[in-house]
Amino acid sequence: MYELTQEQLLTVNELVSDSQITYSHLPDDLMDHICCDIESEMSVGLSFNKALERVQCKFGDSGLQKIQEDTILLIDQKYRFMKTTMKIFGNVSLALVGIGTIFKIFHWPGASIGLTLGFVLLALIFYPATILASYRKNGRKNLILHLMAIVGGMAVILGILFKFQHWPGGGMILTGGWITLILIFLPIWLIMYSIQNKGKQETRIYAIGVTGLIVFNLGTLFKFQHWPGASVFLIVGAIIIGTIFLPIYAKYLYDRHQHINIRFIYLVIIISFFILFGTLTNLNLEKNLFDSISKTDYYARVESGYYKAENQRIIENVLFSDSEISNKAEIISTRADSLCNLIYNIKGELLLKSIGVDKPYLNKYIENIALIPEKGNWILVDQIFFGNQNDGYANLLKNGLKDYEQLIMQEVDNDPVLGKQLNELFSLKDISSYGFYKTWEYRMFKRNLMYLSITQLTNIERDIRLAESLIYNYYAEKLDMKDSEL
Amino acid sequence: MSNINFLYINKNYYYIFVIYKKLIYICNMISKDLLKGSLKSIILKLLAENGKMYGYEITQRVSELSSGKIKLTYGALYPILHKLENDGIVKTESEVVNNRNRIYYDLTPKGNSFATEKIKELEEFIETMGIFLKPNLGLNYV
Repeated sequence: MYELTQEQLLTVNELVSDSQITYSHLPDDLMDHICCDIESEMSVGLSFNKALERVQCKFGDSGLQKIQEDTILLIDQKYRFMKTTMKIFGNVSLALVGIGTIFKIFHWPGASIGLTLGFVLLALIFYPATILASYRKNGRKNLILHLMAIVGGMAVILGILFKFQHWPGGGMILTGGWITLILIFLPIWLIMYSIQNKGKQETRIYAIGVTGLIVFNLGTLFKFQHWPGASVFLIVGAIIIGTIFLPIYAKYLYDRHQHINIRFIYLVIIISFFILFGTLTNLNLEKNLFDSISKTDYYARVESGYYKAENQRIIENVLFSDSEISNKAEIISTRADSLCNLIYNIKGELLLKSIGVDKPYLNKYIENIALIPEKGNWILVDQIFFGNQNDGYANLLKNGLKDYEQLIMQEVDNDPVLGKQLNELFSLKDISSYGFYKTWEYRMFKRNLMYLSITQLTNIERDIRLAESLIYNYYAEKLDMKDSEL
Repeated sequence: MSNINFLYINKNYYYIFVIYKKLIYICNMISKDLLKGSLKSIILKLLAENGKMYGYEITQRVSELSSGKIKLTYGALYPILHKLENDGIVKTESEVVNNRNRIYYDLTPKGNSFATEKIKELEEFIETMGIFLKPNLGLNYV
């Protein structure tokens, strides 16, 4: 009988360890069995490679894994139970989420019930069962790592549900889960994997891949949270995965098996889908959002320009006949002008700090916010509006608006409809939403993006002009009535 | 050129044949359904007769005794062996042979009585099955 050499034994060992057989002494069983089979084939006269190919045909491509799966299923009752649970709840929850989404798209009733139930089943039953099953399969090692994966993943799924349903705290849960997964789970997994499989070529390749994944995911996280530097992370992550990891991995696989297997093709498809999808969604989302916002800004500016001209016309042509009213209008007009000036200055400051060009050139950006380069810079916005100890422009603007509102409200005390209308125009009150107490300036400017804040300011300017116009019209009506009485 | 083509097609047929064999899963002569329940008893019987055995030896022995009619595959053998070990019916010991670990399976004291019971059960089963296969068996008188 032929005996395998040390080198040939290593080849067989690699075959078994490639299939990730870890259960009990099953690797030894299979290793010995395969070796015996090969030896008997070789003693008939086949070469080692031919014999190996033949034996491999006996259990197929994923056959060894299936043997392990069958073994565990037969022995571990809890594992079997978990697998069944996984299958049932996985199907049910996916169906619920799918149907819920269709209902949501068509605005049929009951969509959110289906979605919520689906997501909850997914997060609380399917996902933990999957991880626990893998924990049992891997010989109950690294409990903490598995727990971390469970907690982080559950938080991410629930966070998505909360975001979807606009429930409070969704962002917090999502971010927490994401950070647990990317910054704690993945690095620890990588370190443990590297220690366990030290010196292997594939360890280094996986390290590159996981690093790329971490960086890319960080980019997505930054993008969602509107933190600066997101695009850098996204690009670096995509480059690491696409141009470093994939070619090296492909070469490694090819050197090893002399052909590219189906798993690699899946991997490439999944990675390109994620990178393309992630990047395109980010870009597209931003572009759509940005287009609509710059339109809003444009129309608000057009409106406020119209009101300004109209107000001027009323003062000059209608209100001049009554000196008392004309005086009052003059005061209001001066106040409105100074507020609009303040708004213009704030915009100028924002742009100056972010772009760093001279003031005369700033008009170009104010008139077309699409040109602003740092659209998403909210740190600067916070700095300008809130300063270091709440001494930024926000308070100044709020107080100015309050005074202006008071000044106008004094004039309309005997007209409740107009009073209400004006009150709604500047809703300067603090409100509490979902138990969080929020002041006006926090609502408007805290952690707001640059171009949103500028649009916000343009809207305020338009409201100031609108209020002015309402009050002048009110004066004009008064004058009309006086005339008709005479 | 045509020669290469011919070889290529042949190989494909070979793979299809392998897949077909995999579908039958346990053997290619006696159907899977018939064998399924008796496999455990067969293994126990072999262990009771021969003492400690290793996996490959068991498959070879089964093939030999059935003159090739029953071919145990990897996928059929190891789940059962591990299950038996887990239930305390067989015990294992490891031995280094030709630079690799060989796992030997042997019946435990508890396993011995279990094996006897199982073998008896199988014998009874075959006897009962035999009744159905005997011609007429006095059915004419009923």
